[in-house]
Amino acid sequence: MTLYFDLKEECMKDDMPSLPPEPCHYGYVLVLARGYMNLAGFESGEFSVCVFRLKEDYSSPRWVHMHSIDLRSLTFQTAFDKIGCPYTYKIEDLFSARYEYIYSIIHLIEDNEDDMAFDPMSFLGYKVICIFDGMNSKNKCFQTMTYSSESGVWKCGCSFRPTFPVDFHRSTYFKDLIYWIVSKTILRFDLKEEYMKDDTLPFPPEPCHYGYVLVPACGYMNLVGFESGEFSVCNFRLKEDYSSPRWVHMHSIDLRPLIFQTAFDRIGCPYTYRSDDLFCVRYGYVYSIINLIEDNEDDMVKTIEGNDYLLTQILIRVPLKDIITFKCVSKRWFSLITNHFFSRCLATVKQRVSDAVFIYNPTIEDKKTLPSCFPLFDPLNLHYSLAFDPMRFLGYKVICIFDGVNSKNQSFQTIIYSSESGVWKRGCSFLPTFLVDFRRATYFKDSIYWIGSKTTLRFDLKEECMKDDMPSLSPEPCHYGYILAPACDYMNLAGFESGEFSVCVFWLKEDFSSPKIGCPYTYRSDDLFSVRYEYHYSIIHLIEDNEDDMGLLIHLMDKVVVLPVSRGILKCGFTFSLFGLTPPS
Amino acid sequence: MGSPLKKIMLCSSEKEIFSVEEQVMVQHSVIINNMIEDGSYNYEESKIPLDCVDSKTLKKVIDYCTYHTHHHNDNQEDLEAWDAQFLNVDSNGLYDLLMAANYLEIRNLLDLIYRTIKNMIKGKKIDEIRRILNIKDHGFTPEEEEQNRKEYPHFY
Repeated sequence: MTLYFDLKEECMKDDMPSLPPEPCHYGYVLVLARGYMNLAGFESGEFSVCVFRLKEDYSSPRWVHMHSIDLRSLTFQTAFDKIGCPYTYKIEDLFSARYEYIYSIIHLIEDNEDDMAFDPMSFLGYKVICIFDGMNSKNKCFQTMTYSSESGVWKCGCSFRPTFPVDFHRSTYFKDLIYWIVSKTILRFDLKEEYMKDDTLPFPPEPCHYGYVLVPACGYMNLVGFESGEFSVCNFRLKEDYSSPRWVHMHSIDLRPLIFQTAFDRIGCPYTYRSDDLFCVRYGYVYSIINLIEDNEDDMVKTIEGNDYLLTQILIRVPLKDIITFKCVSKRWFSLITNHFFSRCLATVKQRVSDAVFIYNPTIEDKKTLPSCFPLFDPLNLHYSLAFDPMRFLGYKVICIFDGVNSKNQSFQTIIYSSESGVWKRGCSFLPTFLVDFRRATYFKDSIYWIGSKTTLRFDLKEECMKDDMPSLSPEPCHYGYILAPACDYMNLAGFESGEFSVCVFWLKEDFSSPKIGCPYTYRSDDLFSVRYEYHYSIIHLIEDNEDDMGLLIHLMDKVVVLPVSRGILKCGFTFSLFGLTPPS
Repeated sequence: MGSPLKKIMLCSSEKEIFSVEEQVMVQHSVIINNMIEDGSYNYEESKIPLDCVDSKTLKKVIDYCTYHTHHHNDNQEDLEAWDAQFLNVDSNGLYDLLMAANYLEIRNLLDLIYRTIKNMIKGKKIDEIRRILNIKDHGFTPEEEEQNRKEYPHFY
């Protein structure tokens, strides 16, 4: 259904016809164009787009089916011919057509080659720039014509030859310049001097696969695009200093949590992004950017009462007995204090400890203090892992992972210390979709591994990025302790099987391109018969015994048992002995 | 982390330019550290626009960062005394500093301001807190407010 608000009668009307019979899974777009209200949507099957027009006669309103465009052919040149308006839809116009049948409708635009420039703030009247392809005039350039409302006539402008394809359909005017997005850069037309600038603006470093949007907002020209990986949207702002224009990275928003309310807080402009603003967020990681809108001129909160984050930071420092009183200060304080986030912060602040980091080598009893990793984070949220492998590289690296919850972008951040450079360097950020225990890290062959609730997480030291390419843990989850241990040239995983009467050991196949967990060695329950009844055992470690043999250290009641695991005797039926080790008294 | 001799330009909301040792800001401000690290700062030409920080506040922030960079080995008492003197400003000034520290993500300054504001409200009655923090609309309905006052008279 569509609802509309009648401005004459000032009331909400719901006498609109239902949406066309064939239901679409996502996004209809309502657009005013050509003097009609138009509705564009996907047809069922989602291989085609259809456009409907609302009949003028509102007394019996009906959607008139105007066109259907089959997206499979992806050539829309002729689709609209039959109504006499030769629209040309290029693939870029539907700029998320990438894999499978995943498209989204961005907008229905009135298509004209004429770009209007109208900015009452900088000049009265308006100018229209018309760009046409000079192919026929044999000099292969694009020509411009400029119409000014002052003079009332069209004037021949400059000609230019872009060295890359330009989408002239989407132009953006801002402060005496008209901008177009080009495949690798941005083209600008200077309205004052009336010429196409040849110093093109490069895109910010991280390339995006599709659709940047150029939007003037808050007094700046802004560029919004997907970041590589396509899980987050980033916003760049064009610096005013035009002599050497550069995009300043303003924000990145991680799309996965879909809660954008606070993402922009730290620059002081509390934009609110609702998921409806990105109106095709449906399955997979399929989003598209619609537009960047100006929310407020400069939305600074004037009292601390308006800033939940800052207020929380103050309140968590207040003694607990005052907190009970403070619930009555205002409704907002009440909701902040009763929030889960609040209790979590309270725990973090209370346990602030020294944040010095040491590297200790027990064989030579050498201790080295690392420089404090910038800046003063809450030490409780920092998890350090050491990568040290003299067989592969000299020196060592320390990876520090910290929870970005406090910095409001919700993802985990990494900083990396290398003994070569002697400094901390900012690394990637990532957001695991499952719980990960960052306290226990295991280094093996250029990667650091952590065990999570569903699978293991791997940090690639060569690429210095977090990889989520590990196989999931064995199907039935265990309640406690998996152990990751490198032994016998493999990364091994030991854990309890469901029922917890048996232990299994997996080794990781070397082939990282399609990683799979290898054959499990299973220890049957009889082997642990003595402790079966109360589950009084836990895995301590998996050690290398000699070249091919491993030993699984198990803690049983008051002793430690080593279970030999031999790669040679893979087929079940191998025997092993239990020999108890009494811990030193 | 850049060399300690380099200078960076900060531009206040009044478009006044402040030249600061890079190391001073990099060590304290997460935002500026990020800008330097990802190379989006151009030493020759660019200045960092801080549109929501006025000159008076920016000067104070720079003072704080500079002092703490050069005096971080001083004993704790001296530093605390300096901090106390530094934050001897009116509530508007404190609010501006808080916003600037939050904007630039200067963790230790934020922490200092949080603690200062905490001390302003710690142990206070609700009516006093509302006055100190200028909370005009507490959001409770008159009935709820009356109920609270009846239930916890000693809070008010």
